[in-house]
Amino acid sequence: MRVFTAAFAISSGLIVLLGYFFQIPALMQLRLILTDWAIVIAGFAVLIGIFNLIAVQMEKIRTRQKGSVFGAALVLSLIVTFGFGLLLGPEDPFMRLAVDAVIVPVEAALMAILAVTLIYASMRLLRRRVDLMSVLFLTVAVIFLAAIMPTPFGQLLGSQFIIDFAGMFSRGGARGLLLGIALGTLLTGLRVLFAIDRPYGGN
Amino acid sequence: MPIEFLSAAAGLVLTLLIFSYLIGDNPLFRIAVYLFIGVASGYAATVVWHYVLIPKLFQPMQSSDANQLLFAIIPLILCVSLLTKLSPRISWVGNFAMAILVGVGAAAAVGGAVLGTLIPQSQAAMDALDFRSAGGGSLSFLKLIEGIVMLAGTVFTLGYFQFSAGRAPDGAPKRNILFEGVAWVGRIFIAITFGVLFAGVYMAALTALIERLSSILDFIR
Amino acid sequence: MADIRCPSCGKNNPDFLDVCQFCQTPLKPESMVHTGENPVKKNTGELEPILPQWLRDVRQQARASAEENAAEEAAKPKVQKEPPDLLAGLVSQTREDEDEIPDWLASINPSTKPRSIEAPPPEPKPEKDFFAKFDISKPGQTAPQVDEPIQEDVPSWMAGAADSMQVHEEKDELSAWLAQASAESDKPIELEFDGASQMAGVDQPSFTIKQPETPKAEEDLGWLHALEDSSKGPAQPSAPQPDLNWAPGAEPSQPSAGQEDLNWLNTLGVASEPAAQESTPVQSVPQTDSPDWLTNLDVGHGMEAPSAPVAPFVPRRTAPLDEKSSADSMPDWLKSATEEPSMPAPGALSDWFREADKPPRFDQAQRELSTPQSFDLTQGKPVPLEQGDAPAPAESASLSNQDIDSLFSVTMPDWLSHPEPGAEGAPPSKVEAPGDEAITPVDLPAWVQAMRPVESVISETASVENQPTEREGPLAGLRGVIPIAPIGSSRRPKAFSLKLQASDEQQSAAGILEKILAGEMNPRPLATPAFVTSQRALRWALSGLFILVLGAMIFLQTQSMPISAALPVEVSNISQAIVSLPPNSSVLVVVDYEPALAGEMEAVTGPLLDQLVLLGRPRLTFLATSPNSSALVDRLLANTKISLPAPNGLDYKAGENYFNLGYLPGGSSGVLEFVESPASAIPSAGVHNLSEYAAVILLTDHAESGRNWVEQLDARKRIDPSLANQPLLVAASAQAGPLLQPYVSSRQVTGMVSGLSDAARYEFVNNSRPGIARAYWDSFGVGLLMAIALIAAGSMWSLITGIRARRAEAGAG
Repeated sequence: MRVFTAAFAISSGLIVLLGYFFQIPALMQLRLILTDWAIVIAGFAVLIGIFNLIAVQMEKIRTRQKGSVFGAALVLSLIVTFGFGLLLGPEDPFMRLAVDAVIVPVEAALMAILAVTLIYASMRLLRRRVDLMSVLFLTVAVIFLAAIMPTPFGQLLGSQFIIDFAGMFSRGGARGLLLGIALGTLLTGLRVLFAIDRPYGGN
Repeated sequence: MPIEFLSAAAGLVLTLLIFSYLIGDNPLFRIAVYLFIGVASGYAATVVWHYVLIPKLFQPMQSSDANQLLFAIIPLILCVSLLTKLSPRISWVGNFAMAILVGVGAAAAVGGAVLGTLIPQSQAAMDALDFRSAGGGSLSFLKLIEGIVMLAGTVFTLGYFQFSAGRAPDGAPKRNILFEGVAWVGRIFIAITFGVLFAGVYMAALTALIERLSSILDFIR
Repeated sequence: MADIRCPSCGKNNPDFLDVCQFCQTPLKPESMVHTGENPVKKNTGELEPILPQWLRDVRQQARASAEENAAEEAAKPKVQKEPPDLLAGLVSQTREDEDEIPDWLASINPSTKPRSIEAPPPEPKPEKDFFAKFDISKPGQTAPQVDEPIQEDVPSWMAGAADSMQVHEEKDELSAWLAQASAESDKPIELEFDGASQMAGVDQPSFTIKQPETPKAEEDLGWLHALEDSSKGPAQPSAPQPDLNWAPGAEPSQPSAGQEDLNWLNTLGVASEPAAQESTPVQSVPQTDSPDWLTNLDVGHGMEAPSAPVAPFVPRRTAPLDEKSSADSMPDWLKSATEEPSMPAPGALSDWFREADKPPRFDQAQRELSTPQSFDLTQGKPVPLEQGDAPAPAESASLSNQDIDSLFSVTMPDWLSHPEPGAEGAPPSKVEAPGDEAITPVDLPAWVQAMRPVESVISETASVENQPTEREGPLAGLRGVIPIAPIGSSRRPKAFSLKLQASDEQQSAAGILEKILAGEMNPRPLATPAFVTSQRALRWALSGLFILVLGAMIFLQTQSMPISAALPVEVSNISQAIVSLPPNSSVLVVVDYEPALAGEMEAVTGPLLDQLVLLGRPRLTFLATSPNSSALVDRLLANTKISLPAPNGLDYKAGENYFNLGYLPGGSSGVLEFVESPASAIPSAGVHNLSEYAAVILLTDHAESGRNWVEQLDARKRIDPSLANQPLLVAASAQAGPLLQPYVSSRQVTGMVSGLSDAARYEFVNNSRPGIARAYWDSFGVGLLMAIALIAAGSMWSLITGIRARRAEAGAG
């Protein structure tokens, strides 16, 4: 069975990968079919994940664990939202209400308190660790913020130079990071295509 | 009551509940978070149902075309087999669907990394040294400097992530002195990059805070 | 080395130990002598089958020659220290058993001849048979008294002497020998003592045996016949054990017969020996007409008169053999018997000792033996035992004959009951046969040797004289049988120090660990954390500061901070790209950000979309890459006033001016398919090729997802030339912009607006439309100012306090 799943993964991956380099109509068609199946499976996997979330919370409620009340609120809100969504559709104003009243405010608020947390953490950074990299990190951050910061008198002198100079170094570093990420992605993808790694449970 | 008012009121309450975390973790914050997770999950399930499963799975099955029908049954079978992942005993049945998903995703990632990042970025790093394309003059000199700096930043940053090392006489791992120097310079570039990134994250969070406060005040007004 | 687990404490001990080195519990209780326990009478005959085969073979042959071995052992002083043969009580032969009679036995028993005719011809085994060497050439001579009644008189302990040897010829030999011996009444019979002397390691005594009286001989030959008949039972192996030939199992049903039949042993040392009445082919020994062991018997030691019968059951001496004794003259059966190394079956010997206190059952022995006697091999006559010397061993094998036990318990040879003083360390005396044939030393099995008091052990212990005499139990009357080994003797294993060999550093570390562990047991008072701590206070202060200041700024709606009109290059490129788009074209807008940054993205995207809509009125196609992002489209268009009706907005209508394709799952796979064939990925897209879109606008708040689109689009452009001029415009959050800058530098992205700062400038250039960025700008500036101030001040404070703390730790440490 492990061989079959590995064969599935390798064959589908090779077909998709070859389509990047060879424009054979049959290959392209097969590639399109496979990617279509992949996005359908990915969409269904989202439902599987949501169902698993319900199962976990129901188990917590059943076993009367700590925080099961919150789990009950989660399950209830989920079922209500999904139920209305099945009936009304995602474009319905009621569903928009759920987005505008719950999802956006909560997420935005969570992001908002991050600002305070970041400042708090940066203030205490040098208390824990004092080295060149920490000092350089904070210095660059402060300088960059200062360069961007608007003032009633306009931007600070040399802010553009600072932005360009810092940007030049940051671009170089970012390019190196991107290349490193691409190399890592390449290596990981090849390991999957060669069935060295089998994240689909084939090992 | 207008629905917008209710929406705004709910948003206000939830925002304040989330802001209560600044004081400390409390049940109000937790109830808001759990409610958010439930609504978000439900909405996500709705979106998947309406935008993915119905048009790509159920509607093709209503087609009279045999080919289309065949190409709809196979993903349906694969999706149903994915349900077996919920049970440890028969989870192996869903391995085939996962294998297709993983294989296609890995190939797409590899192709994009090679054709979309490795080759173009490498080419761009070399093109940055082509000061002739800048047209000459001081601008070209600046471009050359910029190219050199960017190339150096690229090389030194990649050199920092090379952790292959030999062994010192005392048994401790020790990299080549050249690589040590390259890694040290690479750390400088990385520190600068992360400083800029930190500034960007803070600015994004600050903007979100400003937006939330603005919405609260708009409601109050 | 295999370890033995102590049954008491459960610790492992080396297998050479008998007692646990930790709790002194016997490790092998079944093999230990339990003193003080009341013996339990058992029918040892029932335990015959559990004996090993070699043991059974030995016993079969040895029973018949018990008297010779007893005589040999009596002459060996070493035997005095030997514990009684543990196998003496083994009796497996019952009268019902029809074991094969050994050949040697059959040869001397003329009554077995008729049976021998019926039996198959025996296999010649002269070498092994003791009596075989005495010329097995008179098969015709049979004892006239060989019949069933006589067979019944065979002592029970002799009854088990059957073996698988071919007994027919040997029976006749024995019978002939005994008959000849009886005929030559005046001729001293020399005992052949080869094997026994080697076993005992003592000089062979010279035994002389007188011709037994005829009636007595005839009467006493019955045991041989009985032995012959009994040997026809279950076949027994033919390897006799010299240690056991004197210890056949006693049959309870034949006490009286045994008494009578054992008289021959009593007269072995006298001139007339009942056993020598029969003419036996043994007389055809090359050297003498009688066995050497018989000829060696000293008849001049005052044994003319029938003395009191010696205890027929004389324990064999199991002392180490004399090294000088050659093994060549040792009979084969004795030789092979001594080669057996195996230990007896567990419990096989224990019962033998349990019959120690039983009264002797043989009536004749009781009659003849007024006092316990031992057969003095040196004198060739029975010697009364001293008071208190209990001859019987403490335990006997499980197969011990009750009669033999009683006999053994009653009569104990002097050499067994009176260990010679000072002879512990002395080399064992050697019983020398006067003849040329020397008794070859026999190799005792390991378990037999293990029972003997080892000289090296004994040498470490007190001398026998200094050791107390056992007063109870099976060793009652004996002295020095179990040497008192002081603690630390060689029998104990070398004591190893249990103290851990650790260095000082290790010990100090162990001490620290010990303190830590001890401290774990001590309850520590829970330190109730203060509700208001410095960290929490700082966080509250920061939160309050930000909320208050920013709230004030927002509430005041100030717009005092100017915005620079200088657009960054990337932003200019966007503006130029939008200007170059054809009017009423289709533009793909990818909504790739989460609701968390909806506010910023709306501020960043606003001027871009506003310019786009204002200039070209394109048909916007929105596509989301996350489920919740699909719901942000309407919010985006509403907040940027694009979907608001005129005059407040640009009056863009859903389904007419813009379309929401919904959610595209799959990550990079979904992007790949949409780039390959939009209609295949999203059936409602209405577009078959990506090139039908005039531009692609990517709204992203995450560098990873933005990178996916950039890579797939760029890879597609390499294949599809029609996509070469399609601009890719990116509106990124401030957190994603720096990592997407390299793509802008490489021209994979046409232009990018990143963060509120770029959006404000872009909006300023765009006639401040829609105005979101402008509204946030002042608050944004104040927020940045606070951040700079707080970071700078806090870092300095943390640096100073950190240095102070480290100095304090360094000073304290």
